[in-house]
Amino acid sequence: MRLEVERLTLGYGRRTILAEASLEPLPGGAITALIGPNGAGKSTLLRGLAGLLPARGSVRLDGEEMAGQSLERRARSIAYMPQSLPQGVALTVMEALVGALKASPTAEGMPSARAAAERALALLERLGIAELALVGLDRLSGGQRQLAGLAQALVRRPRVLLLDEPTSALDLRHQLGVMRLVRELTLQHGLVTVLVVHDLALAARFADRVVMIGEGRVRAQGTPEETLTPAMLAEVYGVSARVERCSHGHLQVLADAPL
Amino acid sequence: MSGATLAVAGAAAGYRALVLRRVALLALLTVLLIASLLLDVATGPSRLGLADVARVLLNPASASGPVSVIVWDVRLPYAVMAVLVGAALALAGAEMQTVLNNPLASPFTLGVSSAASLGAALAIVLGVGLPWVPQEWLLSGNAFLFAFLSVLLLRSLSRLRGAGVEALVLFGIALVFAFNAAVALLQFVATEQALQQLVFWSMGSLARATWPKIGILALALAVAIPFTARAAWKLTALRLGEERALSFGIDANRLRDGALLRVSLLSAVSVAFVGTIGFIGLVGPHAARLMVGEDHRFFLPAAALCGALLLSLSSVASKMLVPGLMVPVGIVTALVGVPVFVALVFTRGRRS
Ligand SMILES: Nc1ncnc2c1ncn2[C@@H]1O[C@H](COP(=O)(O)OP(=O)(O)OP(=O)(O)O)[C@@H](O)[C@H]1O
Ligand SMILES: [Mg+2]
Repeated sequence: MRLEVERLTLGYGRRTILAEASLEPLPGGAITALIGPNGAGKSTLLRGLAGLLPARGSVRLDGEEMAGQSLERRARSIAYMPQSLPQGVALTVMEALVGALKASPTAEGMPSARAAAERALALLERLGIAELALVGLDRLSGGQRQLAGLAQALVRRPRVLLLDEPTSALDLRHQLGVMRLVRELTLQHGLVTVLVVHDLALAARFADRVVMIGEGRVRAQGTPEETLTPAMLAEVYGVSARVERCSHGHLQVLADAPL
Repeated sequence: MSGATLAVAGAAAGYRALVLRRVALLALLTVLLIASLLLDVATGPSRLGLADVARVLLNPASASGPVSVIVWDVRLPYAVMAVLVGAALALAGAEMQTVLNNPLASPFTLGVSSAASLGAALAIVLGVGLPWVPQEWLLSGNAFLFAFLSVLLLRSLSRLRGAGVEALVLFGIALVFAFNAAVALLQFVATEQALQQLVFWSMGSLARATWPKIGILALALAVAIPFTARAAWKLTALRLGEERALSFGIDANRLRDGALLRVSLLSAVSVAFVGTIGFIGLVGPHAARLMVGEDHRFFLPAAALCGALLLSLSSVASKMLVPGLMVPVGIVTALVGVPVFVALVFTRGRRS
């Protein structure tokens, strides 16, 4: 499994947001974190990878160009979690998951309604939210909604996992839980995983690669050590920051002051 | 057993119970609908009771001429038409609300009924109609054509420059005003007699029910329902947001086009035959949503059943409201529907 992105240009209508973004090939079994300031184009890039935006350039999965593929075909390999869930939906967490599974065939074909329900439940248990199975999406807290949204992407058992801010509303324990689960799934199934995070410590700790986006361009990419430098943080985020190792050896980013 | 596996076992059982409860609610609605249909057939100014009606139906030879006429040509077609129109309008409203992602969408609020009125007004006031349509179908034919075209117009307007779903709803509301203005203009120039006919037409009434019309509406439902059923899972997934639905491999535009085509067929046929009946297409889906949620396997049939039940009850009420007189059912739907709806909202609110 290998995702290659070359000279990808994305935008909305006539407005170009991301110009000629090229990424070093993203291998299976590795997590890539997209970081960058608000409005930099992270979500746009993720949408582009998911094939949801008209694009110029090339996105290839195992050498095969994604642009020519039908939505249904693409959905067999790629799962995408948008930044938000819509409001006012009268579905329970379970019903939404079963609906996500039955919407179109997954890589393993179309499960029966019963099998879909079993799969959905097993996933909820892994996410530690089995007790929310029968709660309406509209009755969930912000973090619970995020977990439910994540489950809707994971339940399709994709080969490429694209997550837009999966942890931004979660408490400490759930942040770790989700990142660990994502890492486990990524390693276990050799997934290509790309996720957007704002928490740089989380990115440093769990991502194998970090891509820093600023003002619609890829500003840096590489290992966390290579990309998370005070110079880059000053340039892209406009903050003076220290990058230090904690007593456990994890990289920590400490922002001191806006520049 | 650990806490987690307990929770899973509980959730599994709970989900099965939830599905069963929804099926049971559908069954209950069906029973209520049958009861309402019977009640509808058994009431009317002619004081024929259910027993008399049953005798005519079960043993046609025994009944005397007038009784048989009342049952076969008045009571039954009215009652059946109420059920079919209610189901068609509510089903159309339900699909519309889902694909337009707007709880205020309905054939009525987005101009389908107004377009039908315009078509009817053209026929009544100016005698304009399709050349190959026989005279007695001119009105219905015109109303159907305009209603059908209005949805297609709506769709193509929204496709211009990819305006999006929110714009579609706004266009629909704009169309309502445009059609209403055109109808008002026609009313202004109409003769007194034409005006009266037009006003009466616009008040939805089951008195126009005939067996051929029932046949056509049943056919429209029979054509639409299999496609609706096939789209049910996709419609459920669309509720999770268009982007997410796309990532599930759902072509949202195609799904929307298919749904709007079905909506235009069902609502155009209904409005063409019985005139403007406002409330059902909006509230049928809401009642269904309150009862069974938005898993479209249950939501769509529940909406159709709720709509049918509401219109059938309205039909009964329309005969009882003013003794000896049948009030046009279009006037009654809101009178019956609003209390039912408010009660539903309150019971739901209390339960949660
Ligand atoms: N649907 C849209 N239509 C038009 N412009 C958009 C749309 N979505 C985003 N943009 C614009 O694209 C730019 C990048 O937005 P994007 O959502 O990719 O940012 P982001 O990096 O994900 O930011 P955040 O951290 O706030 O989520 C912004 O300037 C935004 O205004
Ligand atoms: Mg974003």
